[in-house]
Order: sequence, then C-alpha cells, then structure tokens
Amino acid sequence: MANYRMGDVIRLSRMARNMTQEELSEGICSVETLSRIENGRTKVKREIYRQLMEKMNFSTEKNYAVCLSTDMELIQEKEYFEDAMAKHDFEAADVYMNRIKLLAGDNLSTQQYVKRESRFLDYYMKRISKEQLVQELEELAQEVIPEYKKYIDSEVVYPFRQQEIILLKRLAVAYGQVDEVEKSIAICEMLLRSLRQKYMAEWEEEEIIIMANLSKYYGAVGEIHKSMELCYEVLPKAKKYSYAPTIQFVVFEIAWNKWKLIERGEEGEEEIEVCKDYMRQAYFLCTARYDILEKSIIADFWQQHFQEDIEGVIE
Amino acid sequence: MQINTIGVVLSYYREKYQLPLADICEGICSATTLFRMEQGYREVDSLVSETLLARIGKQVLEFELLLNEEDYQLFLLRTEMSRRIEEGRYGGIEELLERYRTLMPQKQPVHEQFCSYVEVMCMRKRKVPGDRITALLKEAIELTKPKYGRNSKKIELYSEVELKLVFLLTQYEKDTAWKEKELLKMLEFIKKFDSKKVRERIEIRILMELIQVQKSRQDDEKFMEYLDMAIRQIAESRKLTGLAELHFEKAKAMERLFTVKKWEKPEEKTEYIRQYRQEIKMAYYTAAIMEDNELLAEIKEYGGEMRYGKL
Repeated sequence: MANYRMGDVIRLSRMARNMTQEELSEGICSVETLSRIENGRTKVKREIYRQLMEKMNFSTEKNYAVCLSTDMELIQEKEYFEDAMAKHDFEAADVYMNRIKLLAGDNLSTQQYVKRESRFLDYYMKRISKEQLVQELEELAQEVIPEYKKYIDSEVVYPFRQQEIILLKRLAVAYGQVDEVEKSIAICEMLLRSLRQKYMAEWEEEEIIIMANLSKYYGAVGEIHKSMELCYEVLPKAKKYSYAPTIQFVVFEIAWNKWKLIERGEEGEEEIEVCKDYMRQAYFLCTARYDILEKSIIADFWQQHFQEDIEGVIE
Repeated sequence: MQINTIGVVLSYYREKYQLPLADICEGICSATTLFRMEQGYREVDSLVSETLLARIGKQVLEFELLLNEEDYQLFLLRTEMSRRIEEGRYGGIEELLERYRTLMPQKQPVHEQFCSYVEVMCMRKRKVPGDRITALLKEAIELTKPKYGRNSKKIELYSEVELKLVFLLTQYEKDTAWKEKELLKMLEFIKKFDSKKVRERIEIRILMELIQVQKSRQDDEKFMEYLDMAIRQIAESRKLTGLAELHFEKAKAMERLFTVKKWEKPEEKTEYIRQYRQEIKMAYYTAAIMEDNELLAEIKEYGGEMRYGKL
C-alpha cells in the first residue's frame, strides 16, 4: 500500500506535462482552487481529481499495472503468488500465476500486472531468455508509462506511483542482466530524483531499495568507489528500518567491492580479513533467515576466491 | 483507482469468515456506516479504514490511498510517532501527540485510542508506576472494545492498536495463566486472519512473551516450540528485530537439553553440536551487523573461541 499527498501528485504531474496552472484548471475549476489544491490548502473532490488527471492524459485507474479487481479470489491468489516469489519458491509461484491468469478477465491493469509478474517468473524458470525479458518489460513500460524515457535525463520530475516504480525497478534489473547496466543506472537515478520529492509517504523505504540496487550497478560498471559510498550511505538507513533483505544485500556488496579493490591493488592485502568478515556476516545472516539461495551464492564466492569452505574455516 | 476497494475487501472477508457486521465495527463506527462503506456509498478517513481492515487481519492490498491534506498530515504524524516508538526515540514525541490531538477529528474513538497508546508508551519511558499505566490501558482498550473481558465471542477480533494495547496489558499481569490465555487468543486471531504485516509487527512479540512464560515454568519442550515458531516467523518477514537474541536463546536451550538427550547414533550427537555452534554464529554475526554491542559481549562471554570454535 502506498499513500500519496494528492496536491503533490497533481502539481508534479502538471509540471511533468509542462502545463501552467491556468491551462490545467481551465474548464475544471478556478486557478485559485487548483493552486489551493496543489498546496494542500483545500480538499479535492474525486470528480475534480479525475478531470484534472484526464486533462493531463493520466488515467486515474488504468495505467498502473496494478492488480485491480473486485474479485477477491483473484486478489487472494495474488497474495499467495507474491509470497511464493519472495521466498524464491518459483514452482509454487507458477501454480498461483496460472490461477491468476484464469481469473484475470480483461481488465487492462490486471493484464499488465500479469504480464509484468509472469515475465519475471518465466525468466527465473528459464522459459524465456534475458533478452526476451528486457524486450517484453520495455514494451510494457512503454504501454504503462509511455513517456518515462523523457524524464531520464531531465530536470523535470515525474511522480511515479508505487506500481510504476516496481515495473521500472524490474526493467532496471533486466537491463543489468543483458549488460546494459548504464540503462539500469539511468532508471534508478531517475526514480531517486522523483522519490526525493517526498510526494509518497513510503518514499524512504523505496529509496533504500533503489540505492542498494544502484550500488550494485555502479559496481558492475567498475565504479567501485561510487558503489562503496552508496553502500555506506544506505546501510545505516536499512538498519534504521531493520530491513533484512537490503542489509543482507548491502553487506555482501561491501565485501564484494572490497575484494575488487584488493584485486585492483587499490587496497592492501591486510584488508582481506575485513572483506572476509563482511562476507561471514552476510553468510550467517542468510543462514539465520533461511535464505538458501543467497547463502549458496556467498558460499560459492568464498570457495572460488579463498579455496575454503566458509563454514569449515570458522568451525 | 477503484473507490470502493476497501468496501469490497471488508464485505468479502466478512462473508468468507462469517463474521457479524457488529463484531467488525464494534467501537469504531456504526453497523450502518460499515454497511454503507461495503456498498461504496460512504468513505471514511485512513485510520478508520485501517482499523476496520485490521479487525479482519487485512491491509489495503494493492489499493492506493489518495489522502486529503488533513488526513495525510494525520497519517504522517501517526507514522512518525509509531516509528519513533519502535526506535525508542521519545524526544519531541509529546509535541507531535499534542499536534495530532489538535488536528484529529473529535469524538472519534480510534483516534483517541491511538493517542492513548502513544501516551502509554511515553509513560513507560518515564517509568510511571504500573497501576497508572494499566488503568490507562484498560480505558484505551474499552474505547473500541466496550465489553472487553466480559464477553464470550468465538474469536476475538483486534485492530493493530488493540493488539498492542492488550499485549502491553499482559506485560503488567502477574497471573501467568491469564497472561497465557490472552496471548494465545491474540495468536489465534493473527494465525486465522494471516495478515503478513501484522505478523511482522506483533506475532514475534507475542511469541517472545510466550517464550518467557514457558521459561519461567521451565517447560523446555514448549519453550523450544515457541522459539522455533518465532525464528521461522522473523526469517520469513523482512525485519531483523529479535533474530540474534532468539538464535542465542536457542543455543542456550540446546546446551541445557544436551545433557538429558539420548543419542541412538554417534552422528546424531555430532550433528547436534554442529547445529548448536551454528546457532551461536548466527546470533553473533547478526548482532554484529546490527551493532548490538551488549548482546555481542554477552555471546562472547557465554561462548568463547575455545568452547565453540573461532567466531
């Protein structure tokens, strides 16, 4: 669930469309009323909100790739699906996704949700290639947020909604998979610029996740120092929220970056123990959280780089 | 954006769980208001929606709330106060509470109740005597549960704030049988209605309290049962709070049970020791990540390199 300040959403959307208050309010309400709405000094009626958003060509209900339905059975399946995905239980997720497809009907938003989620599932289950994943998510992004690229290298900020953010985060991940990491970086930086406008109450939680992803992308293009800076910035924030997946991710990222700096000769061999310590922390945190997938990734890294068993060493 | 999503959710689960309308809205709003909400004719503010949904263990799913300025301000104030309480940062919280009280709709029990909860937490911080705290807790619970403790419902329904208030009340209770009964009632509600977010916030604390009850009774079997439930619960959640302590508790319990355990094969004993050491390490490194120096020192003092291998 996300909560938005209605006035900010209208103001930022208007600015993204490069419209003046006069242009937007014409035929809907007075300029003064719009100004008061944007500043949060007056309540906005739903009908006025609908008219304003439609005039800016934003549908109030369609374009958010969100599973919207009055069919609670469908929503229940969606909850099970997301739970299974979070646990990396792709077999179970596949069963729930098939049920969702049967129940989905022709609602555009639900169809977009199905497309977004099932494509990722197909990729994890090796039914589509990473190139196909990128292509299909890009097509979906064009459909859901047709002008998103316009905001990538622009000062103009677009108030992305939570579901749009999920889609763009996925697209960034997909670009990372096909070695087009610059695109992943551009998408994340654009999302951070938007979120930092604070039009969404949950902006800080989203910011943490995107910063963590961004640190990985910087690392992937060799900008290790930039990645490290971001890791050290995001780690205390993630600890503040006690946000386990990000803490785990960032701690391992620090270890990985340290290793790269040692390999490059930018840090001395005495840093190896520090690197190992971060890695142990990440490993035992994964173990404590029953995160088998991440645990095995770290164990493999350890084995490959230190030619030892991570558990064996500390026994 | 579907205007009536909350109404649809309420109506669906009320019918699914066969819950009377009056049980869901008791102390929050009239049955007529709830019915009109279900039909999509009536909208209420975000706290009332949240409280009603919580009584059936639900969040607003994918529904996105566009809030008017007043409601948004109240929402932000509630979030900020809750966050500060969670992080133990009480400075300035009473000023926030005062601001909340001037902005909130008057004669709305859910808003009054939220304020009482914040007040209780501030009183605890100031170490106000327990009898004054329990009096306010009972008063706060009765704002939305006027017949609390005097009815015999098949299952008690709780909002998140109600769960916190009743939970706090159990912490002041000396009668362990009553305490366990209330904790199990809350656990039954959470399990039946299965709301992930409520689970993340409350279930762990209930389980921790049940762990303490069993510890005081020296019932090791039940102690381990609740301990495993709590660890599993945290592992599945997105939070880390309490994880290091629980793994440490488990290691200590394993050591206590080690002497009374009977081994059919020598490998069983070896595996038990391996698991026990792993529990210590999970506790140690999780505490290290969270910079919990007090717990780290405790683990080091308890363990040590000779006894449990290099940490």
